Amino acid sequence: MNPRDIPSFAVIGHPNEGKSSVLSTLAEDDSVRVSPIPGETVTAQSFPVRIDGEELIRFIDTPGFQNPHQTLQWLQAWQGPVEEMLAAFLKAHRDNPDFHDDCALLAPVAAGAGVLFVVDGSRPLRQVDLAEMEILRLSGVPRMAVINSKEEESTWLPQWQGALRRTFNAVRLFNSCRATYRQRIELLESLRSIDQEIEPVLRRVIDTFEEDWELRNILAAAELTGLLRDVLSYRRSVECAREEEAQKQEALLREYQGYVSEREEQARQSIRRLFKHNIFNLEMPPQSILSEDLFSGRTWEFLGLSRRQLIVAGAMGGAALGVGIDAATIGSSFGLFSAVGGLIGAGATAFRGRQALSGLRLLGMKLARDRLQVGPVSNIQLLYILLDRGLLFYSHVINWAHGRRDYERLRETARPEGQGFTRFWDTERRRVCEAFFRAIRKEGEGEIEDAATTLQGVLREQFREITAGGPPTDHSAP
Amino acid sequence: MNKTWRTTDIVDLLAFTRLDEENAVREEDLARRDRNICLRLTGGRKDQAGQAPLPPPETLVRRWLDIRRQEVGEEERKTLPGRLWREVILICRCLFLGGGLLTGLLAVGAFLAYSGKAPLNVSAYFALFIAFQFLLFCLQALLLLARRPRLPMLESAAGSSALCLFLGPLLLKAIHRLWKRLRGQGTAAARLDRDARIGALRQHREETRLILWPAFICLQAGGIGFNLGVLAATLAKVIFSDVAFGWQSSLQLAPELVARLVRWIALPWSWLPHTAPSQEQIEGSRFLFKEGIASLNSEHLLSWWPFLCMAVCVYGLLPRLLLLAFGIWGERRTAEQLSRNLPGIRRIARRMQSPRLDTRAMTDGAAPAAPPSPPPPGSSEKGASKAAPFPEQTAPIPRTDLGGASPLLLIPEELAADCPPEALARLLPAHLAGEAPLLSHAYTLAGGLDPLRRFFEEKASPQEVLLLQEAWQPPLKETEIFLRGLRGLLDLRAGITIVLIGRPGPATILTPADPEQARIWQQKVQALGDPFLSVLPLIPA
Repeated sequence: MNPRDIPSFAVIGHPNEGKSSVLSTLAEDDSVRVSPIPGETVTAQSFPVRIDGEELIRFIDTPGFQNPHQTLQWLQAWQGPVEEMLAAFLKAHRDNPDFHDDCALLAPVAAGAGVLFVVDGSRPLRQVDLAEMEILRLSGVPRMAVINSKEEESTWLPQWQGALRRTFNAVRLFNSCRATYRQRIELLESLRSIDQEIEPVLRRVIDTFEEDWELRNILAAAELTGLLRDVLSYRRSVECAREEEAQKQEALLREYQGYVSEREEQARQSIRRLFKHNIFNLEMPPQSILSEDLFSGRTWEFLGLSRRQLIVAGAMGGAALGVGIDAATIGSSFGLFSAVGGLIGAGATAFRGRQALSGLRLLGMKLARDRLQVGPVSNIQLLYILLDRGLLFYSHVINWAHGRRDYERLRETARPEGQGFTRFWDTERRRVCEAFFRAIRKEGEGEIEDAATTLQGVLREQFREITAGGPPTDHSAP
Repeated sequence: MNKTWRTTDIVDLLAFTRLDEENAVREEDLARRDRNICLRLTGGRKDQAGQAPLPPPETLVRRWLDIRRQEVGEEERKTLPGRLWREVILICRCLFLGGGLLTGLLAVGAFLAYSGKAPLNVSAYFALFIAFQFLLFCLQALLLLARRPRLPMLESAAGSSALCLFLGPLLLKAIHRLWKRLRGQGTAAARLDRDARIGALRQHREETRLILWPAFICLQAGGIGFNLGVLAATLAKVIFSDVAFGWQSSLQLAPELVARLVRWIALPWSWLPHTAPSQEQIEGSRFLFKEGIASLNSEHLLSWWPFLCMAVCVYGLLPRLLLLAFGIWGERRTAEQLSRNLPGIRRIARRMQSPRLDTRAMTDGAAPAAPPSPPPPGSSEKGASKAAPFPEQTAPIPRTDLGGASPLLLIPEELAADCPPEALARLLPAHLAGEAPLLSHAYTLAGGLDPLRRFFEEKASPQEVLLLQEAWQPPLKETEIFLRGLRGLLDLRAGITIVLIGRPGPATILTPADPEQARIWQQKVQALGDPFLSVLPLIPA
């Protein structure tokens, strides 16, 4: 395709309305400079959308209008053919430094780009906005308005919508800092209203976007399953005299915890990269469960299965005794830990608070012939907790718009996540998890592969639900 | 009290205003303090109309400065910047004078080394110690006379100096080139910060004159020292050793021609006897190597030194003395000019002249505060200063005309219906609102400057313009162009204040501006480099 024939869309507007932010979110490019100070963008910058190396459409970020009134006056006074108007304006003003930004933003329009006119709907409409709209109307190019409300204020929205509808082919609400994947796709789809001729190209782009998204989900599910497999199948055996058993147990547990943290972080980074986040690193606020230690009491309190669900899971796993003891210690412990293995031999008092998180309990540590053996993990709750943490992270990553840069604000305002997702899973999904857990403990390669594939299917289903939006839904209801 | 302004006063005043800025004293507190100082100065005197007569603003502020100086402690007064400035300048002048003297002594001492084989060359002495200096003087005088016409906004106070006449345009070109290269580099915040810093330097360009004149005077002190050194060394050589002056030329110059030239040079002191060689003496002091010195008459050889000394006095020392006097005059004139033109001084004057409206409820039995009586005779200045804070006053004292009509309030046309000028005037600081009803006018950027030009033609051009602006609207280039145009319509030193309001509320559009947005406006406006253009949030956030 000839570069000049590539459908282009110039993102145009008043300074500091969030043009770059819209583009950053739309193009999933967090390298675009976005700032609350007006005038961050000083030159037009292209963002091509390529499929297999072929450029299909192009978005162009532009500086804001600097002289809307004078520009409008010049265009209104133009006597020549309309199609030459913008070119003539550029020629007349290209050497005037005061009009540098106006020329930079109108150059793509003069070259035939469609216009995405971005306004901040959380502020009042002013004469200067009407002047800018009129400039675009006079230019005669296909155009669409995007109301990007930077704040929660909605008083002025009707005013904006009324004014924009008079001048633009389509008007869309799009919050560049809150937009989800689905909203991005919808915005792309609405570009058709600008120019019907680009429908085939746009369809292809949207299909590719959706395929790409599904591929990311497949890879994310595989990454999460790989994490579970590595963490749950962890096994180690070290020489140990009976008198140093306690000391060695503690050291092994610390080593294991370090390993899990590292592996979890590695999985998170992979998922982050999959969704093209370079700056955003989910530095969660202190009260977030995601920022808690995986083995902290709070994490185990909020994530994973509920006590009742665990009892059922334990029964299904055949640890009937453990379930009984667990049920007997309700209220005084993290009753969640109805350990599947390693419960036998432990007294009812061993189920109190912190002891439930001990290496002995979690990793089924045992001393045999002067060797201390640890792993695989004996508590299925760890699987659910890791799953919940992975799903929460996924939810944060896909819902963090690329144009959003108020990372500090997130730290200040984010609330604890509360419960995870797995608690709301139905029996069928939980059965898949238990099958996976059993396969890991049995160490049967073929069985693990099959169970992992099934689990990935469940995860992708959950991903789709998260992508569709809304809080975790309760699948466990009858 | 002293009514004149010296450089040290300006330095102290700048220091006091800077101190207020650094301490972030609220505008209303400054207004109260300065108004109270004003009332204390008038001492409750009233004319027949019941109003207290006020001196011109510069005199008023000069007295304000005296009071502020008194308010600081004895120890702090010794370290006030003005005092330090004076001492540093004095040391510099002494150093230059001494350096010049030493240079003159050494240079002439080396030149007048006479061995008795050949007389000292009068032409070389004249060229080195007189003609060269005189040439420099002429050049300097020429440059001082050829002043560049001043341009609004780009007007440089330093442009009146010889150095800046040449360096100014070069410097400006270099800055423009640098600016073009830097444009677009860095984040918007970094660029805004950089432009604001450059603008702040330009805003203070008037103050650079404070340095230029002392530097000029130092140079003259150096020149005077040099001439005194030359004279002293020459006279010492003549008195305490044996020297002989003669003239030489390979050309067959007629002695008459040389004599005529000498007469012309000696014309300024021709009324003094025996201060220029006669034709016979000139003819007799011509030295030819092949004939040797022995054939020349000693009296002829000694006839040159009074001429040379007088030439040093008239063509070297006297011009330097004239330039010194000019420098001292220039320094004083600059201080006087700055006392009228510095934005800080104008702000203080406005605060002093603006009556404070006080509508607080009176406590039971309390009477309205009485005007403060003047300090009793004989009370020490320090004692008077300890009486602060001054009793508050509401006595009607008219504002001294700062040279124009009452302030003009420019309201964007689209806001005019929702913004009654009276409501706005009530929120404005007293020194900006004034006493008279605000003259208001609606404007649009789309309409350009022509309607305003016509408005100013019909009414008197105001000395203070208040421009209402919504802070959440980012400052655009066209706003900047409008402000530049507005400055072109107004007096170069008329105050323009951009009054910022916030987003419209349900009941009023006069809401507090967001501090971050106000800061952006502040920096953008500062980048324009106009010392009389400022930003003021209407309602403190």
